[in-house]
Amino acid sequence: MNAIEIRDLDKEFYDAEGFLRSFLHIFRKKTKKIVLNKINLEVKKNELFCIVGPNGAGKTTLIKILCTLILPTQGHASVNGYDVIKEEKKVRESIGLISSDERSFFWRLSGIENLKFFAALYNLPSSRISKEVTRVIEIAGIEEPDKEFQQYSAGARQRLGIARSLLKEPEILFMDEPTKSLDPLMTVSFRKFIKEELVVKHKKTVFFTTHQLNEAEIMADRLAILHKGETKAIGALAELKKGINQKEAVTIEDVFNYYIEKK
Amino acid sequence: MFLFKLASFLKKDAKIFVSYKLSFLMTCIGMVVSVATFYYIAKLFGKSASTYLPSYNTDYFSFVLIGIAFSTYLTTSLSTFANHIREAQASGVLESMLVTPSSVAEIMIGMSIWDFVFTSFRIIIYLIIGIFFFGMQFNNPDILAGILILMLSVVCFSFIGIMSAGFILIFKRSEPVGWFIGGLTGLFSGVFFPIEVLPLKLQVISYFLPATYSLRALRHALLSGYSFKMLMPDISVLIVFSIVLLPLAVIIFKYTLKQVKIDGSLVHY
Repeated sequence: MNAIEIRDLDKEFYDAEGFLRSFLHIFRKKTKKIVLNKINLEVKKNELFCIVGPNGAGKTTLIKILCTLILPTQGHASVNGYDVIKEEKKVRESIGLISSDERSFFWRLSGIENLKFFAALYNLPSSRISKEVTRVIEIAGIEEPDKEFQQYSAGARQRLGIARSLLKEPEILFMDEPTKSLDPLMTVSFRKFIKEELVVKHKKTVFFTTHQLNEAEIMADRLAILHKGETKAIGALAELKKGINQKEAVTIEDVFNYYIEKK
Repeated sequence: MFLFKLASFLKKDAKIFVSYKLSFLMTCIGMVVSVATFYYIAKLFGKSASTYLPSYNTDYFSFVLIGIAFSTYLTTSLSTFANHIREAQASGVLESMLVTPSSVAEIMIGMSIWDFVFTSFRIIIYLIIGIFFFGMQFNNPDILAGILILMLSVVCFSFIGIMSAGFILIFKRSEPVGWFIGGLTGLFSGVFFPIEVLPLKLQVISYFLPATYSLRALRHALLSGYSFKMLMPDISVLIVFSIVLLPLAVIIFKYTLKQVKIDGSLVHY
């Protein structure tokens, strides 16, 4: 069984026009916008899979569908064998989500207090919470867990996000542009951490999005190029390079440009 | 597990609340000022107001204090779900909570529990100030009936609150249900004055608002020494309101939640 399977997945949004925005979708004139178009992909267990694409490609929408936060318009998606529409609770029990949004914690609570609160939401029994919180703090390498969240650096906040996502020992981790707000040094150490600690050591499946081509090149076992809601190519970078059929050494930029321009 | 989650929400909100020390102090001062204001209003107009209060067998100050104390419970039930969803959307924690295996119902109740606990604390303070500093009078109160009426009222208003939360998911900043019912409740439910003061035609509106029955029953139970049997007509109306509102609340909330999941605006604000 694959960790993630997506078949013919479409997502359309309807832009509202006029004052009666969202008034139960009855009165407004709708303008259809196709955000994801016939997406098909599979992610194997313990794979580091990357969706790479420019802003507005549909990366975040895809992750949100897989995390059960948005409903697809058509098609099928399953995570850890569970259907994202029919078995959303089971999907959420199998996943952790790390986004680049720093606001996803309570700023006036410490790192430990935040983790203990979320541990309860992850259905961890009270007797196990302290032990699990200590475990994830250690894995994520959080140095001052007693400090208020608002005093954390961007890197420490992102590590706390990882710690939270590991609370229930999920098999699959979703990361939506996780290095977006990190400085170059932090970015390097964060990428190393994801690859060496989470994927190699802890055997997690990681599905992450980025618009940085070099990040996809360094990190991904396999990648999918997403452009204007369509998957333009899927595979290991070496395979995609071969597909270009060009004699000179090709870079990831060449690969990206080739596939997004290909009809 | 559910109770443990509620306790975790309570602990989290209590910690956040005490971290804003000035806000707590100002709330307490505000309550004393509010009770004192109504005490002096009652002193000025109490005699003329008491002509409207024979069925309550009490003075205007006790009447209005019960009104303002318990209407805070009703307005909390009405607004807490929508307020907390809105706050969690704006602060960014809604998404991180919704991606956990906890259900939306657990999260909504959890987010609101602190408000109910704090409102209970406020009511106790209101009554303590009223009794010990301004001579509020209870007449053979039936505390048990009072608690039952209060719980029924909170349930009934919470159903309206859940509808309101559904609308806030779509409209984000304001919503029509809470605004409309909340506005009407203040004027037509007898919070500050008995509904008999209103012209007969306007009194009709009062009978469509659950708060009218809640406040009247609470006053009769706590101030007028009514027996449980005498309170039954108002209690029955509250039960009917709850039975009608429950499915409506569930349908509206489920529908609006599905809509925002379709248009991708669940965590927009």
